[in-house]
Amino acid sequence: MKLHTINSVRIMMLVAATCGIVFFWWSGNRTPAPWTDRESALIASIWLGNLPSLPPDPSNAVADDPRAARLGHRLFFDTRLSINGEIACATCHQPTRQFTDGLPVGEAIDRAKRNTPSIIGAAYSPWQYWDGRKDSLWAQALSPLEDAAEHGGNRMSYARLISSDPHYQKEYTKLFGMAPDFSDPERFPVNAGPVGNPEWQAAWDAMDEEDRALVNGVFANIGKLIAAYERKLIPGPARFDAYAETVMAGQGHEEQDLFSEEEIRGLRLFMGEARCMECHNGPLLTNSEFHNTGLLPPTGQVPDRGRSRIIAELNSDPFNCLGSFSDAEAGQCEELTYMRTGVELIGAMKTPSLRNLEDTAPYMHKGQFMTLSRVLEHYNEAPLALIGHNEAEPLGLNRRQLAQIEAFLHTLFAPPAVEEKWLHPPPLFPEASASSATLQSR
Amino acid sequence: MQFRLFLVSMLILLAPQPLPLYAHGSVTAEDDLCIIRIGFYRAHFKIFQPGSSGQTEFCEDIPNTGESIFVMEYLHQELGNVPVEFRIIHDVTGLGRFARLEDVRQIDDIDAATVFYQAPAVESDVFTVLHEFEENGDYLGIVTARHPDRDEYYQAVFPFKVGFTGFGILPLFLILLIATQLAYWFTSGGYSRRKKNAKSKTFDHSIQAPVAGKIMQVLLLLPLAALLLGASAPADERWTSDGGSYQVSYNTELSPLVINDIHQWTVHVETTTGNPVTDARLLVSGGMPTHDHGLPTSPRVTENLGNGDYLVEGMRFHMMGDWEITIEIHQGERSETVVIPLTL
Repeated sequence: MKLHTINSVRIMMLVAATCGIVFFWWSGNRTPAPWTDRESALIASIWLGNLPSLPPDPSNAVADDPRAARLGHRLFFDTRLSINGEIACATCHQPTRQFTDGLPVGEAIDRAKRNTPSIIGAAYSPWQYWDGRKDSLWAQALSPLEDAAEHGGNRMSYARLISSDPHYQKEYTKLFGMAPDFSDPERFPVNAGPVGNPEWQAAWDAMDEEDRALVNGVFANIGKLIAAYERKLIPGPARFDAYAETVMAGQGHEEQDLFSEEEIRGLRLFMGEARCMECHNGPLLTNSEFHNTGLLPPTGQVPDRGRSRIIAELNSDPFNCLGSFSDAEAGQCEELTYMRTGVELIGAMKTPSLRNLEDTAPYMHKGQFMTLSRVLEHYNEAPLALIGHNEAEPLGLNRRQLAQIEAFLHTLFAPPAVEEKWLHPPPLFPEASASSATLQSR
Repeated sequence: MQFRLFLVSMLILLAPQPLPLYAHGSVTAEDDLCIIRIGFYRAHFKIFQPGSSGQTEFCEDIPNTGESIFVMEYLHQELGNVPVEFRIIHDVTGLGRFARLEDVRQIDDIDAATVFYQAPAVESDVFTVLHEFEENGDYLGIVTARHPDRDEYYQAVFPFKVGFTGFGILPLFLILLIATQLAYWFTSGGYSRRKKNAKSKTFDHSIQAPVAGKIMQVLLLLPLAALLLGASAPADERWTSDGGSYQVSYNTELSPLVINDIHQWTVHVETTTGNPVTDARLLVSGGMPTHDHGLPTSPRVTENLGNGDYLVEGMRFHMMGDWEITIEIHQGERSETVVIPLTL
């Protein structure tokens, strides 16, 4: 009898313990609370369906000309736009990787200074580069062509390519009128440009003012053509966007099978406690603004001064919106005209979009982090900035919560909503030259 | 009493540490900031050793050899316009912490003692250099900056150690500190007081909880209401300036206001009696008070539209949440400020 009592006590204890464990497991995993009206509104605010149509670029008259996009497509993949004939824009901006290269920093002629950003959706941003030192896609496209670590060439040789290649010359003429004749070696040296190589600089300085302007004009148009192509690269709807539609249709968590509970919790943290949406807002998950988030520089480097270093340069850039190669009226350059300065910009870099994270590691401006979980740990910790002030504050989230945010971030991934042809090198020229044939074999 | 004891122990604890409290030479501690003075210039001075100490900030002495980043954040704007030179030498004066500028000037061959030299460079707001120390020891840092107009130079000297003796007696001190605190707490009846407090606290809670819940509910509903209504300002809403002379209202090109879109405002200024103010000069700024940052643009008044209306161009918001737009109104001798709160 006594033995029987002990046994039943044991059994009861066992049942109680099991119930306890089951309850603990259930309470941690039970269906999350439904979205509040405020949360639903925030979800709608980052839904891709709310992305406005592409903003016009008044500084680029051919921005939305299909002929310019076709020619820009060709230029984007043309390795002749480099000092050694091996580097094209697509060398680092690879279509198969959401137009990035999978490296901490770009590698072309030499090692570049920063991480290669994706181009998808870039046409929506008023600023290009991590530090926003260019105010249009076309002005940006020019810089790498003359950067010694990237394409390594000079504007004289690029301009000559346009006027000498039969296909380029023909198509260029349709858009901008006949390109100048650069065949006179007295007026137009083989290599010349205002940056980089001292010999090219000397040759550039020796040229007539008007001749330099002719070269600059063709050079700027190369940028405008490439920009017209880049404007085709728009992000596509992701699993998150399908989920957002069910939320907007008023469906509860139970009725949808698009998002796991983990992802729902991650989304809630993303919009709330984790404060991600303060900067990663709008349908592209970026405010295109500049923030210091206290990242350590890679070994052997001083901290990157980011936005604050380039303000003066941006104002005096001959290819900016107010410059003589821009097609905009002065009143159309609002972003440049009302640009801010100040200590808040020390060490500040542009918020990147989060719609392409699957293929764009390593992350951050120097590719400091290989994985998303490291990025999230960094923001959770929000350490002291070496220079300037870290705008982020410690979040105090636990590992499980960080994993939930990461799960949500993966739901934002989607291939770009781009016609397939734009993602591959263009077909051979009708009048294919030898050099363009080598381009195709790459 | 207990607090005072704690304070005394903290002071003892901090004294032997290489913190700004112990700064010397041209580097001094002010308001918890490590400041370097170069003539009349001032800069926020800090050293980092990312490889060994991550994002820990040092004022002068650094714990390890290896990669060290010296940072000077200019507090004096003029410093951003003049060349600044940076040099690190072995402390050949043998004076250690007491080395001064005069002593450095007497060094015959400064180049022989130099371990790092950064030629004069103009940086707009922050100066950074990187040096990899190969050995522990006493060093002197020398910063030289030119006068903004004259051909005169200012210098600052700061002695520092590389590879100081680590934390020394810090762990022992911590144990001692905790033991002392605990002993004091027990003997002075802290334990029984805590027990009593705990009881009364639970009691308080049971009464306040429903009220607190209500307040929380209201607080949570407020931003919801704001969001649903959008941030479109009711056209007739007015704000009075701090001096009480002006009333200000605004209209936006974007209604409702949204983030990440540059747009224009029309600001209307009138006297409290309703007369439009047509000859004022307005300065527009703004920011998020809870985030400690400003607008992402520098908006300006570009046109006086007459009838007390002013066109403000270059407005943009880059975050959702609470914003404040500050408008300074200058009219003749008078200047007053109005703050317009808005929620996006």
